[in-house]
Amino acid sequence: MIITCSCVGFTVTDPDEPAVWLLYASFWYLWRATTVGMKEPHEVTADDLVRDLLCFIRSTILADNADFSPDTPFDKVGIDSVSLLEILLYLERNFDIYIDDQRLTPDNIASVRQLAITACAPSPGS
Amino acid sequence: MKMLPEVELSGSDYFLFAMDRILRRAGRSGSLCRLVVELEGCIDPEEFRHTINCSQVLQWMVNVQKTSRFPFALPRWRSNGTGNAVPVTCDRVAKHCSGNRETYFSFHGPPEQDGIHSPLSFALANHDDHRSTCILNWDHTLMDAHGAEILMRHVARAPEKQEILEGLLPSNQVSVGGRVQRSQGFGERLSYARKSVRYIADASAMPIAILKPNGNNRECADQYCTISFSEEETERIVSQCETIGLSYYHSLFYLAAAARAVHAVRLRKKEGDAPYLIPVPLNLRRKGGSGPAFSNNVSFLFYRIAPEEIQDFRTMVVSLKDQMRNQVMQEIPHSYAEMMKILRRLPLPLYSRLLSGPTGGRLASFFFSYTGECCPGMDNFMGQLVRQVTHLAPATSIPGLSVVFMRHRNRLKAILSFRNSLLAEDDLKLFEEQLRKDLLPENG
Repeated sequence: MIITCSCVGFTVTDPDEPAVWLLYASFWYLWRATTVGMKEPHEVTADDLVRDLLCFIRSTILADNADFSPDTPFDKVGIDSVSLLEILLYLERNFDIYIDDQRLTPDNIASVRQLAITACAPSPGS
Repeated sequence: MKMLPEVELSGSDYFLFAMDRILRRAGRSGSLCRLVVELEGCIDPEEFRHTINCSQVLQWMVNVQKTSRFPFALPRWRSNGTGNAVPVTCDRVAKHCSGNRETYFSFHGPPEQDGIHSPLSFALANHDDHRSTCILNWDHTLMDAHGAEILMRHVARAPEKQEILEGLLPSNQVSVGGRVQRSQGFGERLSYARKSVRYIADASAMPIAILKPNGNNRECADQYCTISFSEEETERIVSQCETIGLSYYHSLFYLAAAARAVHAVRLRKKEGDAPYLIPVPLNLRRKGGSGPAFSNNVSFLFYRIAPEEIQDFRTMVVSLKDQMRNQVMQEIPHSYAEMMKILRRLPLPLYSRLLSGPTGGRLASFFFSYTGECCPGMDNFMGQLVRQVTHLAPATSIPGLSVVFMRHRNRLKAILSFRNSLLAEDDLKLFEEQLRKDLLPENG
């Protein structure tokens, strides 16, 4: 196997060469960074998610004067199924976190904090 | 509070005007909506009149009309300067009369002035059994059902809580699509709006299944039919939603059941197989706010159900869920809202032709809506305990059938609004049987 990097001026011929693995790792990291952001799903903590989700919900779903905290029940402020779907799609797009229907129980998605905890917990099948 | 002299019509206001025009051409008198609040005690009619007439917002709303300064200009709501009072009808109703919904609502319809219904009116009926009913009648072009709930809360608390009026008029409390928020150029807005046109063209491809009327649809009246579920049945329905993986998508479960009930009636009438097109309104108000009450602030999700999908309840539910997800992902509701905004400059005859032309006047297979909890937290209305709150939607033509699901105090109910030429008594019975069978499967 021959890898040639003309732009950086070196040629690697041995697959066990650490430079090859370094190159692979760099490509993989770059690919992850451009497709799902800089963080790996399991690197994100529930607190990070709470902060991020609050920001998203305040800017796109809630009224300016809405009284809302991480523990406010979604149904209390009238967050409906379409708004919840927007939140779930936001998690998928920005954090590569997919919550399957079985985990979308009323308790798991009662508030931003509950949703963040559910999102960070490993899914039962994994 | 200073009243706004004129306000731009929202995209959905103008859309509703175009729908209204289609309705009137089909021989109907417009889109009359009702919000009915049933109370435990009686209300003093004079106090009721006084409360209504003290509200500046109600006074303003009853006197606005759509104006456009010149062709292709943005239409605006403008006060007509007449200063008419809000029509309020107060009656005593004998017990035997209040049991019959049809008699009851025709009795408490909106009053007419020179042959024209007032766009907004109230009716109060004090019953012999010391209960009362307050009805808000309004024209759909003026506001949507969520707006009516906000307005009713205002009346329920008035006159001492006038500060909530601030949220009642149009403001920046309406959600726009993410992409529209970022770019305001007309070209970009237009291409964003065109996305929904492509989607709707696919969803509304002919043929579309509708219920055909028996006899002349023009000479028929609107009727309402209520299908109520007990608290225990509602609990079972909710747990059924969770069983089939729809714990947060109750509206899709109800939509699927309603579609199968309409299908059962069509099968009995031996009407041919065709896909169903069902537009479902989506409230675009930002959540957690107190307004706006005035004006329509909705967009739509469009569902198409193929004849083979409707045979199996679970297949249909999966398809509906996928369609909902795709539309939200592609921002179709916001794109459609943008399209309605752009089309405000079109003359109404052209707009209504655009709406009804491609489907030969068939606007939907039937209209469906899930309002969620009606007036949540409104336990008291002008000092009386609230027993029940009900929305009565117009039976929009064509086809002239609307199915609205709603909840009040842990009880689910479905209200059918229909032209009486469309569903006979046997059809209604079959509709209810099929609906219960799908919502409460162990019954079937």
